[in-house]
Amino acid sequence: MATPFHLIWFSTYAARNWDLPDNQNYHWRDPHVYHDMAHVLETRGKFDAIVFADSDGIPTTYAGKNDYYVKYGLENVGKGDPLPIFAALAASTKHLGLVPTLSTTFFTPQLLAQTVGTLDHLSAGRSGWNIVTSLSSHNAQNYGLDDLPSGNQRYDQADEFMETVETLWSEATVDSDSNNSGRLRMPALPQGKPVYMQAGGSERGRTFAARHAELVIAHINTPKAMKEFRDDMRRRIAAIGRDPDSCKFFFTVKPLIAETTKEARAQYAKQKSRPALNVESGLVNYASRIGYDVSKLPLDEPLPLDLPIVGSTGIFRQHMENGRAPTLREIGQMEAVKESYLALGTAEEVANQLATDMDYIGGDGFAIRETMHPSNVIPVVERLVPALQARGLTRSEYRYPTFRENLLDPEFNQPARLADMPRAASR
Amino acid sequence: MAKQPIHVGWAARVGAGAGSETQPWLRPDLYGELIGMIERAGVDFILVSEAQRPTLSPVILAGAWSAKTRTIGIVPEMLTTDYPPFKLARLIGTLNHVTEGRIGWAMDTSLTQSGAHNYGFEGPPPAELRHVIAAEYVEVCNKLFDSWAPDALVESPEAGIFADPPKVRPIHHAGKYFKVRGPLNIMTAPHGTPLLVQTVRTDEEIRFAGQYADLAIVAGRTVDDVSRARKQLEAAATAAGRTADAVKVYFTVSIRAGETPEAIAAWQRPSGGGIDLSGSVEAVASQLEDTFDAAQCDGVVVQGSWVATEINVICNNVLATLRRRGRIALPNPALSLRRRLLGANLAQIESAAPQRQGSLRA
Repeated sequence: MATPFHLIWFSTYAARNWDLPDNQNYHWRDPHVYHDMAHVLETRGKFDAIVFADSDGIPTTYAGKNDYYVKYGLENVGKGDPLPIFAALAASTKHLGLVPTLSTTFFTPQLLAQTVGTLDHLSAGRSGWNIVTSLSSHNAQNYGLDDLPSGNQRYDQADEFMETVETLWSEATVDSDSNNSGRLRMPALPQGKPVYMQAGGSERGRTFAARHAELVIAHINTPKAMKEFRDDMRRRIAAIGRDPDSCKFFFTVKPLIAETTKEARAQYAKQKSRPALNVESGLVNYASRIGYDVSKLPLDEPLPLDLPIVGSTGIFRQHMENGRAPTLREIGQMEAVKESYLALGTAEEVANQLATDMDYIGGDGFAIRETMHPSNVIPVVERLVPALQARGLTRSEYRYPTFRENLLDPEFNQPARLADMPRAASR
Repeated sequence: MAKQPIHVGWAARVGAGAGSETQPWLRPDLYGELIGMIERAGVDFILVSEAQRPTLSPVILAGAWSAKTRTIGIVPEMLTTDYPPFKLARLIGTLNHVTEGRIGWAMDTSLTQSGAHNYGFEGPPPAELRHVIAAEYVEVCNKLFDSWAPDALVESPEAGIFADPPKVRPIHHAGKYFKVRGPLNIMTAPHGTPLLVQTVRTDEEIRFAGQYADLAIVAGRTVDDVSRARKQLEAAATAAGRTADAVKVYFTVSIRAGETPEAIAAWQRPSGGGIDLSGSVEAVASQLEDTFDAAQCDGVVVQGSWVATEINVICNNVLATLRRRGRIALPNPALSLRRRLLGANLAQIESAAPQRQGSLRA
């Protein structure tokens, strides 16, 4: 029997895809776009949640300045803080989980507990929190630090941070007794605490996720590696005495749906031929991700294997995997058009691919990684989701009022239970 | 001579201690209606603050309220000691996009015990440093708000260029209390920078507002108190090298209106002080007009409660009466909050054009 799965939308409040060919009448900053698209993701797509990635410094990795990132709108350029837009969506939606990304390095536990606690209240129990420890020095330099503590140190701090925020949430009270100073003065959160999300892939990141996460998003390019990742994480979770089913794994995918396969390919080719996707922009992006200024290296020579990189070793190694070190120019070309795991074709073809992949992986969902541009959202909710629902693979109705209940519900793809109907309807 | 229009702000306190058992601020269905009523009455902005800290986050409330409204300005009160300046500037900068130009920041410079700890002070914070730290903080925020030139965005798909690099500059701030590289990663909203608001009680706060605020709120008990504060603010603005009317001055009013003494006595006393106005609806409207004209300020801030019947009387009776009398105009939704409230002053700030002072007040 086919494995049913969850859907979430993974995006940012940012200028990504500002240069899409059909951008008339659309601007990524326009809040109405997010309200409208969240509305259809909820009413028609029956998505579990929207997650917004976030990070807030503009890199200087490439050529030692911000300029190239600004020129192409890359990395964190033109990116709004996810909290205000999620606060607005809390008021305009009823069922979607809302997952902002917030750093344990740049927030105090008090401020984070207050902020996310408020979001959980205003959404009546639909807040999540994508926990990040902040990756790079260009973030640190906006917060009075010259550089960040090491990755392991940051995760140790994050463990401590988690303890403090959990205490703050568990002790939240509206009793204004003076003995309560330092406690959050609000009722207990509707969900007790937000749904914890994590996306770190490093060894220490996996240990952290196994301990805390209820939702994990992984950016992996093959179903085989997706399955390996999920199996590994579930083993780690079981090893510390947690129920592996208490954490759901989502794999990023970029669907491109059209009336015919040929048309989908043509649309894809058109997207990839945008002038902003060139060797330079590819290398600018690559430089900040591996944390090394490649602007000084010769374009047409193979990339040295012993570069002292400080960023993602995974991304650095990806290009070396074919046994031959590609030239910088080749890397730039590949990086410029790099995508998440692609699912391209007619709605039926994409539904087939996702169903087959999920059967093989074993669970638990796909995270559609795209901007909330209508040209991305509408084909998914109008064509793909009905095809998945018809096979009983994805949710047709929300069965519970809160994000966590819907996410962890083992029967999430079944019709709503009658007993829950009046409760849902009264909200 | 036509009388000056009365601008109206609304102070909303939320959380435990805000005097409401039903906690309507937690429920979109309830607050949506109440704030809708306030918006339709022609109120220019609603100031969101925590009744007892730390309660619900004014930033999150501001985002949520923006989804339920179209024209009203939203001004969350945020403590400079709670947020690193980059975080605050980015949150407010983002809110300006999300609210389509309706955002302000109520600057609270209180140096709390926990806030002092964030700056490395042991024990009670040194009071004299409070405004020194806050001044540097606001300067960092202003530099960040200005780190994108208004015309920095290119967004040309054909040229493959998103923004013009020379127009997006790091601020490289390295002061006594803050070190911030910048630039902000969110560009200035098409509607300009946010409105900076400060509630003033002390001489220090007046000096601070004179230097940094667009709009100051004074909480005098009498017209004389308010007029004195207004003059002090004018002097403070001048001393800071700004024009005397660079800071718009609003004063708080506490309204209790009803047609019988019993109806008036039944009002909850709104906390926060200000000038008391009570009596019949017509009488309160007249008191408000007279007080406003005598104080020669730019607007009033109503001390709001969360009692639906009280909000109804203030909005649909008192403010409606003033609208009928031509003293309150519905806000022009085409203008950003800052542009709407600063009017001629903003034109003066933004261009070197000759003064057209007062032209919008006629």
